[in-house]
Amino acid sequence: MEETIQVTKQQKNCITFQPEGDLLVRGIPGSGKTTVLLERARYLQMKQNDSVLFMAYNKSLTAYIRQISLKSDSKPVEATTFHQWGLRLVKEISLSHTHYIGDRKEDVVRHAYHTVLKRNEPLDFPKISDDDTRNSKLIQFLSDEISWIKGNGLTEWARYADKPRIGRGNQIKVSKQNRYAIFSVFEKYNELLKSYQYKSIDYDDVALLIDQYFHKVSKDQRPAHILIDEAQDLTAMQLKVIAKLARTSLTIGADKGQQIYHRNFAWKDVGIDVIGRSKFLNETFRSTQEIIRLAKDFQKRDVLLLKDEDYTETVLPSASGQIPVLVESNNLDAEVNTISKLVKRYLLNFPDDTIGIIGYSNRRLSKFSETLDEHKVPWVMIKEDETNMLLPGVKLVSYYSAKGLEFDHVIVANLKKGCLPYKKSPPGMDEEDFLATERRKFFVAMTRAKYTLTISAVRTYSPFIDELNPSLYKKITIK
Amino acid sequence: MLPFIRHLNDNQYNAVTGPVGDVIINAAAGTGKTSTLAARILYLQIEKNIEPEEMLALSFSRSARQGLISKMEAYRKEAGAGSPIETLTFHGLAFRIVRVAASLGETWLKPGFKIIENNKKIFEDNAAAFFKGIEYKKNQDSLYSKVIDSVRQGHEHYGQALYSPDQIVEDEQLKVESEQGVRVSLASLDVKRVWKRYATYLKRKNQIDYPGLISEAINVIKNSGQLTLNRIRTGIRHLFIDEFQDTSMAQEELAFLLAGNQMYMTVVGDNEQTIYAFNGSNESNIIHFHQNVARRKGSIAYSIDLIENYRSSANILGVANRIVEKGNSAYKKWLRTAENVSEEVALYQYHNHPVTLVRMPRLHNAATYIAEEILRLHEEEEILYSDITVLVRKDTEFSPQGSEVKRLLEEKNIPVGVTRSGGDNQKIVFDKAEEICQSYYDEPLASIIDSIEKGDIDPDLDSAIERGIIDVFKEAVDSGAVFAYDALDFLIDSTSGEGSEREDDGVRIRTVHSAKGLEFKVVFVLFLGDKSFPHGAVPDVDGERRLLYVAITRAQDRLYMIGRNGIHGPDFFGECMGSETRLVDYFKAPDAAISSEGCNEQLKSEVDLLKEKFDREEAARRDRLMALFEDDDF
Repeated sequence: MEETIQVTKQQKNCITFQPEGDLLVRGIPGSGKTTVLLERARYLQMKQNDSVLFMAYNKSLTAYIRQISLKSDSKPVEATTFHQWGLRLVKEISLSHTHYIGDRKEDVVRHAYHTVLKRNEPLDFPKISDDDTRNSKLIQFLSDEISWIKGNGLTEWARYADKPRIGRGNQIKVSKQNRYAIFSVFEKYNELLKSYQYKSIDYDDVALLIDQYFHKVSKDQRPAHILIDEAQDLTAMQLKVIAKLARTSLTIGADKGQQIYHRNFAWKDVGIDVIGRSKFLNETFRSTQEIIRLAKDFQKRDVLLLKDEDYTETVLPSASGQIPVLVESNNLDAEVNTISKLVKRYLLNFPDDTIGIIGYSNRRLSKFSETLDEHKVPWVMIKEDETNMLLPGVKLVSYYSAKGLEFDHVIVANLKKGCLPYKKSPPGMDEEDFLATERRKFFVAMTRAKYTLTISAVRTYSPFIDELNPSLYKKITIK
Repeated sequence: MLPFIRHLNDNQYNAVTGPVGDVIINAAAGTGKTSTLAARILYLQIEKNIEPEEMLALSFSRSARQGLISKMEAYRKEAGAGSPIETLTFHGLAFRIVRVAASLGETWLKPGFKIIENNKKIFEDNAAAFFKGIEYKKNQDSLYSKVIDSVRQGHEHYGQALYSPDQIVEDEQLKVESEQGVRVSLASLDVKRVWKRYATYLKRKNQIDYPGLISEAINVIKNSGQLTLNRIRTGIRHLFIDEFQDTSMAQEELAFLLAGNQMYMTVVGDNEQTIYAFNGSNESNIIHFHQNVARRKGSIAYSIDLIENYRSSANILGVANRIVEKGNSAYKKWLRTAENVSEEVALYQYHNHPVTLVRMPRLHNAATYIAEEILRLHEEEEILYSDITVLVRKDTEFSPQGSEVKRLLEEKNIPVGVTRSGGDNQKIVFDKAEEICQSYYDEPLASIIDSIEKGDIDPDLDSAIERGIIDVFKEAVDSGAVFAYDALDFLIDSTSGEGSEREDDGVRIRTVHSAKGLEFKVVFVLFLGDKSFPHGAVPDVDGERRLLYVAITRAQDRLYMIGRNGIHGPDFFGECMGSETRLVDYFKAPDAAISSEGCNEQLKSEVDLLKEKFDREEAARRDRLMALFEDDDF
């Protein structure tokens, strides 16, 4: 995605595309999507001499973009996440509380649920089989549904009542009566959030509040040009307000093949006009063809993606290198030792390179960091935005946070059943949908690698290991 | 020639012997700021025949005042001539003005008024009354008290200090930074209403807070207090102000109002060391002194810069200069090593150790490094623990930099010196001293001291407390107080939270703010990097840079800068790097971490070839891109 690409004619077109209106840049991993967006940001900054805002999907990515941008000698581009930027705007324009409810969200949903149950009206909630007496699955379903309602801006009953529940799966049947009950909880939930007891907002409120107080946003608070990277994981509501906020132009970088949250909307639904204003980058410059061949073959299992209108096949890169390797461990503890040995060997052969260990959770990754400390191997955990990702050495990163990053050498860890794919899917979500997003996490992880790729399987192996074509990797044993 | 003049360098000499008029001495770190001021005061007495009674000195804090007094005392002894002059802090001066005004009926406060230390609690307790009819969020009570403090000290929106709520124009927005570092806008009408209610509350209670003391003093002089002003000014012709960069807009205003056309002002400060921006002080106090003198007094100020440093090695100064160079300071001065320094400093200049930059992924590693390095310095180089100071940017519950270091040092059995404030005893001493002054209001201090020693005042007084009171009164006498009511103006500072400090032996850990004006042989500074230093989510970069400059210039012999490269904000760590520094990189694996077997030459050369290919492509891409940008049609 960064240095390794040539400016092709198409990339040049993306960079200099007319600086008014919308532009969609789609691209496969390593196709230079981010670079193109950055160059376009610079172009707009230099040639248009107007305010430019670059949004990325999470804090580690903004840090990464900032670092790449600092390496060039021109004026660096400011990168921020929608949440960082949006929350600041909300603080400036509204009197709303700006404290995040965070992990307590489900408590508030539960509170709202119990409150509406006490009313003297019969409420009919969807049937969800659950052995738990506390209705945990229903509460989680309601919590997800509330996110979906807010994320799609369906905050009025009239809009929610008949809205096709695209992206919410077919596992749980939701009747009109069910919707009425859900919406009662939704309204109570909002009321409780604002009340003296909680005085909070949730993650999805930022976009809604900006929309609500849009009339109070002054011209100075609105950037002339907004560029968003990895936009496929934003909600419809977020994209809608971003589109409204941009004064002159909006540039969107996206790749459905890397979509790891479950979203579903068409660009025009959120007020973005991309007809005749869409570019596609399908050459990858980041990795060797051996790595891409394995990843691409694996991606073929993603039948949902193959059906998507946005899908286009990846062109294999010309650079050729080592065939990806698979290491096996009997359990997670053994895996920590195997990978530590591997890392020490990488340090011997490639002292000036970055080594990314990608695992399923930060807690799991801390097992690696403890062992690396014992071996005196320096490491950084990529979860905060201060992390220096360009310096050589070991970087620990979760599947979620790995998106958009790249490392010279990648070790994809924790390929164990129950870790990836995760042991349980959210209530109501179709198994196939769920597996598709989990599969994309693995795809994203593999395509972070530039020179070498190691996949670490742990017994009982992840079913995804079986989906890898055995002729495209080799098994090795670390002594 | 006076003995204390003989040691001066040319710039210092020019400052000391500068014209009897308005003078500004812009003195960089370690250049003998306070000594030069003390020398000038005595020079004017001895050589220009100005009476000590015609002089008044003002300083920013009680410890700064003490520094000036002891310097003057040393020079007096050396020269065998000269007298102490009255030396007050700004709060002491304001208290005196308001006290006199109260006795003359020129203020709303009545004699015997009380000073409250912290208005936070008042805002909390009276939230219902203060905020009636005002829409406000949780925790905003503290934002209002903060903005009202700020407006009185000098808020950026006004560019001057306000002393009355009536000065606030309605329908404006006032910005204030919350505790989480977010800038929040408050409607000026609401601020005005809350301030009025707070003022009414204070009037009813006959109380005033510290920022209010300064603004009421301004109000008195500006609007009603001709009698008060005449009494305060009596005979004073020369006003000396130390640490001028730390004066708030309100304090600056008060100084100019007091001086009028009757007093010459000599101010000393360093525009690079303005670090109390949150108290309304700003770099422009020094930068604009000339214009202010011209505008307010119709005269031209004489100015001189001090840049010869008597404290640190050339390498340390080199790093400090670079930090200034990379910044946006309106007036940049370049430090250089002084000649004719003490034997000790000559040794530091001779060593000229490179400044050590330690790059670390995390604060935890930093603490480990510091502990190991301190042990090494102590054992191999026989450096005393008490010569070592660790400076942290912030040490609070939320960013516990200091406590983390302390914990690891103690684990390694390294003694950590604890800096304690005076404690409970101190408070009793000041309360009792104040009580004595109130009851013996116009008795001479000398005779009060005498009576205390004889046990005439209160025979039941604990001897330690008695000793403490006598010390306080003697300090007041040294600062020029004669009568008990004069001493009241000194006692005011003692209650303002700044107690005397006691220190144990051992490595010292303190914040950069608290180290201002001090110097240490060995200094560790941490933790450079986004959010931590420069501090905050949206940091005041210029202010943080000045703080970094203060931290660097505390070091005499050895300096360690610890942290990581800045990514989102300015890269302070990277900026320190230069020919004066050496890098210790903890991002790089030590030999012990690297496997001894498993070297794969074939793989290595394969990857090397790939890298070359990728680099070539990258270079070509850059070239084409640059060409693109140079093309005008683009």
